[in-house]
Order: sequence, then C-alpha cells, then structure tokens
Amino acid sequence: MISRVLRRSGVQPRPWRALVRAFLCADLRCPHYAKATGSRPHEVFPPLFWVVLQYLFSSGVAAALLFVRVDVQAFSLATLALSMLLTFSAVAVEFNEVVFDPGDAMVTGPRPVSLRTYAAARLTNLAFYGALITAATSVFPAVLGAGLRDAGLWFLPAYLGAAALLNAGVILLTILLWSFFRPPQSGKTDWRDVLAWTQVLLAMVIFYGGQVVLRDQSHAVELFLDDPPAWCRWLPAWWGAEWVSAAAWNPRLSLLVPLAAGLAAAGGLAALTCHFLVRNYRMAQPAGRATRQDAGALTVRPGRPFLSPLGLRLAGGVRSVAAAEALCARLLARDNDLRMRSLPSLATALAVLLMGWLLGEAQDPFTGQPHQVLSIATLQLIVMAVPVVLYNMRFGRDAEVSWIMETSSIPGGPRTFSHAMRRCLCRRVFYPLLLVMTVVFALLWQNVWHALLHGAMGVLAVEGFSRWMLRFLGYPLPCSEAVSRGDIAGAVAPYAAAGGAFALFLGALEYFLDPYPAGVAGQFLFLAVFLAAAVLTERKGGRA
Amino acid sequence: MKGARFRTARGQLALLGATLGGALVLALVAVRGRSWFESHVRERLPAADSVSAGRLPGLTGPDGVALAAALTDAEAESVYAAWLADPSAAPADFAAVLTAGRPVWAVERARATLLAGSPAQRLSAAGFLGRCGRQEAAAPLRRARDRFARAGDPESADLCEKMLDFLSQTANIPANRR
Repeated sequence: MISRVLRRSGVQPRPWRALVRAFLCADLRCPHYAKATGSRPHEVFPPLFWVVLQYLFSSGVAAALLFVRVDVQAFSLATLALSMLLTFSAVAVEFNEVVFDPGDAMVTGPRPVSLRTYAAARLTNLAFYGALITAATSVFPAVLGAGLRDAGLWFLPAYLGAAALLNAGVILLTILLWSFFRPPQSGKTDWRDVLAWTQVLLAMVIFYGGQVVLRDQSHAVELFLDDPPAWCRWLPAWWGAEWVSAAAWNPRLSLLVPLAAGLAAAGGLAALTCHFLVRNYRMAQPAGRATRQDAGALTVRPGRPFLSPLGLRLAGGVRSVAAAEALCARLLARDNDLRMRSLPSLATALAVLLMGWLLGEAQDPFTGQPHQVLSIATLQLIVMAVPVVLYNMRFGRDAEVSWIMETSSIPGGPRTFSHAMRRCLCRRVFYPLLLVMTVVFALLWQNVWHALLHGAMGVLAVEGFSRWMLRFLGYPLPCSEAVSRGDIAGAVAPYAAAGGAFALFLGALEYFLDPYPAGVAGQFLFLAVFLAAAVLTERKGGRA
Repeated sequence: MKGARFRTARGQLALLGATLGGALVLALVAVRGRSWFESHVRERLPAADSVSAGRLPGLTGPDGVALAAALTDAEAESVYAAWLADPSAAPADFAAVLTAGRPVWAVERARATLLAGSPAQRLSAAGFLGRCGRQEAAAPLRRARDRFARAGDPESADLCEKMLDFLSQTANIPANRR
C-alpha cells in the first residue's frame, strides 16, 4: 500500500525505506544530546531516549504544578509555551540529523537515489521526530488538562491538535530561519552543544521553580496566570490556549474557522519550508564542492596569548605553575560539557539563594532571626558541590590532552596540573559564586559586614575542603578520561556524601554559633586550622 | 549481547512507545487523584489569633479606615485570616473599610483567595470583592464568574454575578464595563 503511494508520487520505495531507517538511527544517536545526556549511541538507552525522558519530566512536572490551579486556559498557555520552547531546542540542536546534513551527499551521491526519494525520506524522518517530541511534551498536559474541572473530554483532542499545529509551526519556522541565517559552528565550540543542555536546565528551573510555587503563599503564579500582561496575547501559545479553552468548554462549529486558518497558515509555511529544503537538498547533490565559508573556517586565526600577566602574578610569578593554570583554564573554558556537568550541583545553591530571596526566608544568621536556614544552606550547598565539581574535572572531551600533562617536564610532575585545576576552579567558579552570594546577602540583610563574614567563611571552607578532597581523590589528572554515563554518577557518590556530611556539619555550627561573636570567632579559628592542616599535609606529601 | 532486542530500530521504537505509554498511565493516575491535588494547592492562612479577631469589630466607619491603614502587612494578613475564618464576626462594611485603608493590598489579597482558596473561602472572597467598592475588583469577579460557570458551579457563578451588580452600583462602574 505504502509502496504504491510512494511509486505514484515518484519516490523509489526501497531506497526510501533504507534512508528512513538510516535517518531514524541518526535521530536515536543524537550526537549533541549524547554529550548533554552522557550516554553513548550504542547503549540500550540511546541519547534520544534520555531526551524524551527529560521532556516527559519537564512537561509532567509543569503540568502537575499547574493542575487544578486557575483555569484551563492558563494551564494550556503555560504547557503549550513550554512544549514550543522544547520543540525549538530539539530541532535546532539536532538539525543536521533531523532536517538536513550536507554530508549525506557523500553517501547518497554515488547511489541511484533520486532527489525526490531523498527529500521524501528526510521529510518523513522530520515528521517522525516532530511527532515524537510533540508526544513527549504533550502527553502529561493533555491527560491532566482533561481532568480539570472546567475542561471536558474535548480538551484531549483539542489540546493535542493545538500542540501538533503549534509545534509544526515552530519546526517549520526553525528550518526557515536556519535556511536564511545559518549560525556559525566551528570544531569544538559548537553553540548547539550548549543549547543541548536546554532541557536539563529547564527541568531544573521547573523543579526548583516548583518548590517556590508550592511554598509561595502570595500565589504570584496564580495571580499572573489569572490576568497575564497584555503582551501575552500576542503569543501563538495564547491563541492556541484560547482555542483549546473554548473547544474544551463549548465545542461548536464556529471554532473550525480559526482551526482552518491555523491549518492554512501552517500549510503555507510548510510549502515555503519544503521549497527551501528541497533547494538545499538539490544544492547538496554534487558532493565535494567547498564553499567560501568552508575555506574561511580553515583559516587559522591568532588566539589570545597563552599566559596572561594577571595569571602569572596569581601564580606567584612562577611561569610553569602559571602555564599549568592557563592550560586548565583553557580546558575549562572550551569544554562546554565539562562546565555543564558541574553546573547542576552549583545551580542548587543559586536556586536556594533565589528561593530565600523570593520567599523572604534568607535572613541574617548573625542576628538570630527565625528564618535563616536558607542563608546558611546557600553557603553550605556551594561547599557541598566541591567534591562533585572536582571529581568531574577528571572527565573531559579532550581526554588526549592528558598525554601532554603526563609527559610534560613541569616541576612537580602531573600533580601540578591537579593543583592548577583546583585553583582554577576556585578562582573561576567557586569564588565568583561566593561573591554573588555575598552581594545578594549584603542587599538582603542591609549589613555589609555580616555578608562579608558569611562570604569569608565560605572562602575558607571551599579552600580547605577542596585541598583535602583533592588529596582523597588521589590528585586526578584533569580531563584524563573520556566521559560516559555511569562513570561519573556511580563513583562520585562517596565523595558527594563526604561533601554533604562536611557541609551539614558546618551548617549546624553556623546555625547554633552565628548569633554569638565568640561562636563566629570559633568557627573562623576552626576553618583556619582546617585550611592550615590541608596546606601542611600537601607540603609533606610533596606538593608542586 | 545484553538487550540485543532493543538495539534495533524496531526495538528502540518499542522502547519509546512503552515509555510514552508509561507516562500516559502515570498521567491517568494523577487525574484520578485530582482531589488530593486540590487539597494541596489551597492557600494556607495563618491561624486566627485573638488579637486579630478582636480587631475585626473595630474595622468599621472612618475610624476603621484609619485603623486599617495603620496595620502592618503581617497584621493585615492576620486580620484577613480572622475574617475568612468567621466572616460573620466582622462588621458589614469590613470589606469597604479594609480596602479604603489598604486599597491595592486588599483587592490583590481577595483575588488570591478567589483563585486559591477552598470553595467556601472563594465565595467569601467574591463577597469581599463585591462589597469593596473599587472598580478594579470587577475584572477578577467577571473572570471568577466565568470560571465557576465552566466548572459546573452555577450557584457560585450566580453569586459572582450578584456581587458584580452590587459593585457596579457602589463603585460607579460605567454600564458598558459591567
């Protein structure tokens, strides 16, 4: 049946099937999502599976949070907008696998595959991918929304139809935008690697935002959704939500008019997109033609000097130590995955800081006020993240660089690089975060000195604890192992537990001792001794 | 090879289908627990204390307006909670007096109850907005009326309609905006 339809359309059935299967395999492998999800293409659960799971989590938590709040229109507005955002990120990240890859011509060029067959296979794959993402982002909202008191059974088909139409619009617009403004990509600094973390970050935002929504007694979300600002009415998600709401409450024939208008607009957009896509496919047919942009990408551009004067000064004027630090800084700066893997543990601290700010529960612990737990928790969550972040540095995209470190003639040997990475993390990640925390607390508490005391405790704790942890981790060489799922999550558990125990201990000290000046002095003394012991142990052990 | 059946394109599609099916079942279970969700999204008011309850009778007339204006946010919240716990203990012009003393706060507070309160609290909040004498209370009342009508609660929708009529007389709302 399908073969007959394909033949009548001028598509070769066998090559079409083979191409669709090959494109489906490419979808499952998702090279950019593979980095963000830490999974390998040959595993039983490939990257696309994890992406679908993350989309289900995000949309499910968002739907559960908005379930039985406000009304069906507000519910549809928020969930449709989220679905559109996730669909955009999915198509943009895996554009080459899902929509168009100029490299295909190398494979299909020498084979008798017509342009029409190739285009049909590509569009079939795009339709499958769009349907999968739409299903993953809509299954929870569609079913939960149908259970709202002001919705009926018509909600389910209306919502699914609106989600399919809006997501199709997003996919088509993304392809059109891509056709006109192709974003730059070069080697290892591909912006799509960063965008691939969208669903991870969104899941975190929804999870932590959900905590705020559940605890917020001012009901800011309900008030916002009950009477959204005027600009919301210009959003396509608003139009979709309005239509779903009308169809769910009182389904009538007149609602087919906006549906027909939406379908016509999507059809027009689809025709335009197909035109540009087929043009791109046609242009890709003669393989091996280098464009001016390709030639430009090969041009070597001079970079920044490897050793900065500031880096040299921070390293105490020792050029070898400064060089090790500069190398580690460069590894940290260019490996997006490395940064993004470390982000969740630090984002927890920022989320708690934000929650404390919004809920008014981040009060000054030095004055013995009742709501001070989130102020202390923010600091201790940063300390708690130290072992996880340090452990993460063992894994990197540029695992080959470890050969340079192992064989370098730098004084102190490979261990110098471990120390350099620790210092680099402290200066570029932990201390800036502690500074942000200090500034926010200074504003919240209206007391700069108390905020500075709190921040100084954090610096001492991070400095001392990171030195001890580096020792317990066995001075790992930065980026010496290729990353894969399971290697990180499993082995880091005891170190994460140690970080948690230490942070809990410091938190308890702060909670009970902060209101008393002698208690504060005692804590500083303890942290100073803790740090001094770490430094002395390092020197005894032959520090670089 | 471990999980060889799932390493094929067909196996992967089955895996994705099973995952979406599992999500569907989970969503259906959540819908079955709607009453549990409803009990957890309700607003939690501070316990009504005797001081706040004692303030209620005094919130009437011009003196009451001055008293309402002098309340801190926390005190006003407690007084509002005491009123919600027992609306009959407050004078008839309580809503108008509290709103005159704290116009923006009172309307927003009642609006939050209208959205997140229990069914009884929502009706009290609708009554509050209807009697507050402020034009800006009309829009939330209209939206609440539509919500109640859609949720199959015609009695609450009727109450909102009555409150809208009352408000239009007391707040001098133009006929075309009622």
